[in-house]
Amino acid sequence: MEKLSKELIGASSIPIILSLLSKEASYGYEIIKNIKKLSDGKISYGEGTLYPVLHKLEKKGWIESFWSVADSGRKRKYYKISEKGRKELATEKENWTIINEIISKLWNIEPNLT
Amino acid sequence: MEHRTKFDLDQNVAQWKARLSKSQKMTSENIEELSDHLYSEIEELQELGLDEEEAFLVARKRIGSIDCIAAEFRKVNNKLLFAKELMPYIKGILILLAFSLLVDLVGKLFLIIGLKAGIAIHELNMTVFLVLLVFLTSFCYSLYHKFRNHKAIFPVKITTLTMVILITGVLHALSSNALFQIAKPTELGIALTTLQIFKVSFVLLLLAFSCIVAIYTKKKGLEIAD
Repeated sequence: MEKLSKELIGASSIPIILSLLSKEASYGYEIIKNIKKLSDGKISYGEGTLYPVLHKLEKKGWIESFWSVADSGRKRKYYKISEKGRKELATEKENWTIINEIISKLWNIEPNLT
Repeated sequence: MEHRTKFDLDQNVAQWKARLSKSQKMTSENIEELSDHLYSEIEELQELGLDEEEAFLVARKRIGSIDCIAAEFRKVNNKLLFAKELMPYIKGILILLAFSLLVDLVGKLFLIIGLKAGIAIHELNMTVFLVLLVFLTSFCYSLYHKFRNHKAIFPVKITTLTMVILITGVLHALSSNALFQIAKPTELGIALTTLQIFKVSFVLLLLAFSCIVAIYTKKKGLEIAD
């Protein structure tokens, strides 16, 4: 199972995290597990690196955090998408669609590229 | 037979958290969040059949080394860390200011006493010097005595930023008040009062800035070892 390049994982992290959080509030550990499952293990965030990304998104106001008590009885920090984050997600969707269209066009024209 | 003490998970996690805190790059909230992550990982590994100690070791390794985590968090906590690095400088300036204000205040107090008792200022010089000498000697001796007996020099810790701000503020208020009592409406008196107003504004600005730094770092819960 080959993993994706660091650059691609980095570039796609914001739309992926925002999309996940637009469905429901979640916490760091669950986010990592979900992304790993969704990508069949192709995207695996470093445990110690996802949190700084989440905090960066929080600073930008795209996501909000709150503390709650988990089933285990431990305090847990949850994240949810904000209104500003939903707008950002819409922009991200447009951008990724554009890139996708460009690449599809290119590869349809030159099917022998691979 | 080898005898091993039972593995204490909570104690080991606490030690791990203490090491993160020592890196001084993370807030207490960052550390709490990561410790929940560590526990979640441990629980999952235990479900796979690992014992508590094995699960802890694997989970800790997966999260990454303390240096790596600290380096990643440093990027996000940059502003906060800058404020933290400013703290010793602010404290140093305030302590110096507090000390000079204390000396100033003692001098003014003697002047007030002299004026009230009708003693001429030039006659006060020797008395002031002697009293100060006795006072400082006994103060230094009591500090040395406490230090030798490993006792706390002051009943509360006075080197925290909040205490330093408070002490400087109080000393400044007292010192200004003393000057206004002494200053006569002569040219020198008026000049000194004007100068004091300038000093008050400067100290107020410095205190306000220090308060902002103190509140900001406290609110964010940055782990600071004093």
